[in-house]
Amino acid sequence: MNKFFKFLCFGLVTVVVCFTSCGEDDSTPVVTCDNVQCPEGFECQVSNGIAECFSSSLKLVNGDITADQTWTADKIWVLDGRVIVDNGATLTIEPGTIIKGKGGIGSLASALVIARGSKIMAAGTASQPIIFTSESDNITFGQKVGTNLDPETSRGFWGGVIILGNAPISPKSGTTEQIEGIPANVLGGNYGGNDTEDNSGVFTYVSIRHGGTLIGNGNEINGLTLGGVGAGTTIHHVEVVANVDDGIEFFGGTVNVSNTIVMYQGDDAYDVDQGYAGTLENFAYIAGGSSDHALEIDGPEGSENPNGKFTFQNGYLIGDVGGYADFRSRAQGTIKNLFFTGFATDASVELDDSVTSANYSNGDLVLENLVFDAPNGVSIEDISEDKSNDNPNFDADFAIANSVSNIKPAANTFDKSAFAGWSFADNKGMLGEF
Amino acid sequence: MDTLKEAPRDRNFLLFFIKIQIQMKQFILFISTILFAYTLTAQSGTIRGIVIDDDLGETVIGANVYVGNGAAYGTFTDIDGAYNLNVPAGTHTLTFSYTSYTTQTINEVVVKEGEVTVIDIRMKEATELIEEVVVTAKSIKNTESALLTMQKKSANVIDGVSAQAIAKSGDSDVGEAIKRVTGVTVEGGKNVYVRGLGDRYTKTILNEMELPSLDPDRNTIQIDLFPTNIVDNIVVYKTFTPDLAGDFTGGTVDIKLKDFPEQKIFNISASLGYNSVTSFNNQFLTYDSKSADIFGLGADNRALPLDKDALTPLPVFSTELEEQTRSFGSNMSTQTTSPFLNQSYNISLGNQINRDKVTLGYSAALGYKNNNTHLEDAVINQYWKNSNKSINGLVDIETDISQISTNEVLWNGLLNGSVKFGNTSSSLSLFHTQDGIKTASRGNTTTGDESGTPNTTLERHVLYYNQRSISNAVFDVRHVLPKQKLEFSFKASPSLSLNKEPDIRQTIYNTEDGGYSLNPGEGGLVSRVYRDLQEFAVNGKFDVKKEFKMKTGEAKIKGGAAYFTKFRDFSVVEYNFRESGNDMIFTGDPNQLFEDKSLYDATTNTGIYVSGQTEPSNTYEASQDVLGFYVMSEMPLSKKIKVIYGARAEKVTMKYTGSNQTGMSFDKETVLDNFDILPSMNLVYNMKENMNWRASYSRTLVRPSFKEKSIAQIYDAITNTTFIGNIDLEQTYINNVDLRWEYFFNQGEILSVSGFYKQFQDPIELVAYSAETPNDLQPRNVGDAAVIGVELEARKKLNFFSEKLDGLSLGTNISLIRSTVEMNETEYNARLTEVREGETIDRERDMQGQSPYIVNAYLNYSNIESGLEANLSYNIQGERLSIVGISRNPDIYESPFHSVNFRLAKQLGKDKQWRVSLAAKNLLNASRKMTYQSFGDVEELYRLRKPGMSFSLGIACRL
Repeated sequence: MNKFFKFLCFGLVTVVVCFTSCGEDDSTPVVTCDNVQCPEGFECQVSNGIAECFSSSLKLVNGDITADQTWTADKIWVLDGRVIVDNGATLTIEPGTIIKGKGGIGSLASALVIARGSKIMAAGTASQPIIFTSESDNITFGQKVGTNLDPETSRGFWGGVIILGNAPISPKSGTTEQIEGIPANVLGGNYGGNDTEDNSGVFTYVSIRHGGTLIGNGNEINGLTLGGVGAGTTIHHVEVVANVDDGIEFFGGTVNVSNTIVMYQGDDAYDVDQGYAGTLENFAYIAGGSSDHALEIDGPEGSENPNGKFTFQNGYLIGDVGGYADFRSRAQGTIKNLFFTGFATDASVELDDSVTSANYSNGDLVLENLVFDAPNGVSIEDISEDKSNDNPNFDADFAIANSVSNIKPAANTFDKSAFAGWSFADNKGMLGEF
Repeated sequence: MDTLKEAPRDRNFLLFFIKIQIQMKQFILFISTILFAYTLTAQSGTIRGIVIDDDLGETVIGANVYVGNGAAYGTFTDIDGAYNLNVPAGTHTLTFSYTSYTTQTINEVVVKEGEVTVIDIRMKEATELIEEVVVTAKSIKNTESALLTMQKKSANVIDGVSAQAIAKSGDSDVGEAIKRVTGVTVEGGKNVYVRGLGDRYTKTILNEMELPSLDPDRNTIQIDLFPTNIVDNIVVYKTFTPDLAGDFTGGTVDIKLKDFPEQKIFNISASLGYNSVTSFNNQFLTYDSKSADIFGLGADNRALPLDKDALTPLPVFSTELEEQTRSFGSNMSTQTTSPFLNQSYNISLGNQINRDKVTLGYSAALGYKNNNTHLEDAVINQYWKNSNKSINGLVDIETDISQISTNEVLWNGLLNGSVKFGNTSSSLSLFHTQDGIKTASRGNTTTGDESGTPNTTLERHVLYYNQRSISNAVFDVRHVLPKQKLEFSFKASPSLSLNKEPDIRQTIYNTEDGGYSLNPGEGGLVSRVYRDLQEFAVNGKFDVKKEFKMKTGEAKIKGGAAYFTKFRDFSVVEYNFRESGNDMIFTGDPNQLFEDKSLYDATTNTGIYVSGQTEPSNTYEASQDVLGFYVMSEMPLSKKIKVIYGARAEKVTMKYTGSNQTGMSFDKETVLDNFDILPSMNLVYNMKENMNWRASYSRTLVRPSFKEKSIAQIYDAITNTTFIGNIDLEQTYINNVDLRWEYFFNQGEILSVSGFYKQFQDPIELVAYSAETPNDLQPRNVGDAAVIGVELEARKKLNFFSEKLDGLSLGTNISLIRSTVEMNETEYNARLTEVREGETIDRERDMQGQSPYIVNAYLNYSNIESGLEANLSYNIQGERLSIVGISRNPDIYESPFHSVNFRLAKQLGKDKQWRVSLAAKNLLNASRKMTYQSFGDVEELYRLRKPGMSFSLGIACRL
């Protein structure tokens, strides 16, 4: 018995010794620039015990912005990863400021997210637009366009801009939603609420170029994503160039937007989801070789806020291989006074399903004074297509309200001068196409 | 080995391998010595066996065993209760005697020249009435002996399968053998569940040592890796005693290898298998025929050509980008082939050599399997609840039908050497498993919505290779002081497991417009993903046992310490390929994308280019250290009542390094630091001979896995779900109460009824925790849960009906289980939001993964004389909640799978050295199915897989 306890004791001691000596060293590291790799144009400096990357002309932005901040026009602001303006903070961007996104995909994709309750004050002007582009774009101070990137094919070089608000949306379930591509535990990705007059700030004379990289979970980011943005927000004179996914996508919300131009996107130019209930006015579109539909319109997804209806009016849309418009999933709203030109022979205006077809029949979806400068031999009846085949009169009704013609009617008050001076399109001499 | 050399911090792993190699050299020397020794002894015959105390179920040390009057041939049992007698060939009378035991004499023991006759006996304590028992050798054959005695006498609730039982049923691997144990389910022939509790609550160990799993997200090792002829027994511990590691609740399955085989083993076996869906099906898909694939070593052929930490350049006339893009292999398409039969080969050998003072034992096994599996029209759908809450019917959101073909190569080698001299025995086991899984699949996805019209159609091509391996060594030394009745044992075991998923190639085309396009906004994608996991573990254990006499009988006190540490390193890097320019016309053949003329050209700045880098939120390092101590005692309170009580203390530390998408980052920070005392109390009331009542209480715990207790965010493109780690997870504590009545009637027959109750504090479930992102899944400590169950086991020979039925036996075990878990607020509210008209939402639901019932039944026929064995078995596991629904996602249930298997084996030849066996699996041609279930008896298909029927013909030869 004695021997046994000695042995047990010995065992215990051995283990306790190991146990106490297995701790970690807690030495405080000395901050040096040895392991800091700064991006091109930056140099590492140690100040106040922090190693940082400095540049006289560039300013690196990463992490979240939780207090008011101003981005001044005397620097080029480089987005390094996802930057979320949250905690009610206001990000002010001076007119004429250039913001460049670094490359990277997934969680490393550069994007600017304005969270619900926070604001962006990006009030550019026709002479001093605010430009979001890729780090590899050679544009610099005082310029409106760079020269090294192909305007049509240089897509997906960085992320995009996401503005989120408290206005009503109709998501799959409930009244709020997480914006696609951002995991649920990133709270700044949440949007939707009940404030129709919600104000997310000012976003004017802004051009967003060469973005749309994969942001996460197989999702590419849109040029400008508006999730639950309220009518108190001022958004006009916005341009999206060469984005991988959609140009501008509305997820619910009530904001009114005007004077927009989308060019060379990889998916749809203007996309509506979750019962967007605002108006888009005076908008332009130039398709590229991999662009899909000019308009892709979905309806409310769930049972909450099911009545939101949008209006799109006075537009000029220049097509390529993609279709005119795709209406699906309970699409509802009004589209009028649009002029389509340059689209292919097989381009169509489609009602994808029974519910959408019924919405058209009962007047929840209105399509009027759409004028198609279609290729020779294409009649108005060739353009309309009810895929559900539920409404035998669709072609006839559509033909009454809309027409094929190569002249933009006067009722369509589209005015390309809204894009003069500040836009990429104008500076590359493309406004002449309208 | 190659990858180890590349990474300097893996120096320890390398040293470990060098050590193994040195040990292997010594081992080969050792084996050649014993093989040489064996040839010298093959002149006379041998009697061997084990002597067991019939009351305690333990081996008897120092019993006298002799032939005739003992003058010429006699010996004493050693520290394992084993004896070895070399006697002249002929018929002998064998006598066993020991102080205070009834002397037993066995007549008609036939010993043949050069052969081993095995006689295991049970000795009873001497009574005044019986002083000597005389039986014939024939009558003590064919018993369940040791294990059943152990089960009968064990302090805790154990079930198991002995080597004898396995030999009778003809099961060739542990996965088949263990199905006969009460409350055990074997999923896919390899993963064990006890009492219907999920993998999290079951643990599989080898020779009392923890081994890493081939599948890094599982707790248990794959048990079909072990051929039954080198297994001594498999024990399933269902209640906790302090000498077991405290992290289980359903059961711990211990596979014990034979240290000293009683007889020479030299078996070679081969089998060919036919599957009704796969074999010779010319629609079987494959890709990349690399010669290393047939050894399960194909990962190096698919290694990442780039530096995983560097971001690829952008397509701005970049020659670097051109170089990087063109460094990837060009094969993206599946090919069809017609696969041959499944094949399996095994060699196992073993023996023991007895010298005056020394007994040597060895066994070795080498196995190779090459299996093809084809899943025809495998379905994975997505349904939502209707947005209109008065409609109960579900909405078809996505339909996906795939053809999935898999070729799996699995080989394993095991070497076990043991030596016993005087009162010390020691053994070293080396174990390596190598697994290579090559999967090629093609599928079509249609997404839709409430209107029912398809929005998007996709065509998917996926090429996947997974190489996994485990290398492990177990060193074991045991010393017994018989006079002091003291036993010391020490075990140490290092192991290394690797899991490589190199170059997961996905091409997803959009097909809705008739032709093929890659529209990233609508699901079009070309990607190549590389995942890599390494886990290194060291396990050590020291135990001391002391026996002493009390007035009421033999008592035991046992104590010890254990240390278990493991370290994991995981990384993912993903590359996407897109087109610069708009010139390509897609033919739909994924190989087109990687043709020379399609790839990015820096001079024109057009073509398919690569984009990607390591995703930091997918990458982590973690370690876990567990230090345990225990003291326990087993003592008879009276002649009939025995109590075992004690406690185990465990101290755990988990450390984590990694970062996530919310800017959180950890650098070797301690994320779990607990000290727990786990008490245990077991009572056995031996009401009468062969009948026991048992009661036990214990507290155990379950720890979160590395992946769960992390901040990793891992997207799985195949299921379109994102796994979000939860760094705040706490350990789950379980209070276990067990009651059991058992009756052992004739030899090998048993009837038992058990009841159990488990109360879970902070159980962990994988839940969709946010109604807004139902495809983001996170492990969470959900509300408290309780499981209550009843188990019935019966094993009966059928010869009481008629003599003709001699050899037939029927066995069944049935478990009925009820589980409840309290929903957390998020889940409850999300269910309320989508409540249908007339539906009520309870605060409680079934526990995830818990089956309400499990039934195993079998009919056995075994005739030792004719060498004919047959076995028909049926297994079923009740419908269980598989994925907890949230928002408009309904709950998903896994349907019961009715598994009916048949096996027939016949021994042939003069000495029955040949054995031919025929096995048939899934005779009902059942499908594996999971369904969405929603209010109003609405059911829709979530997942469907049709494995088909399998038949195999095997031949084995004993040399």
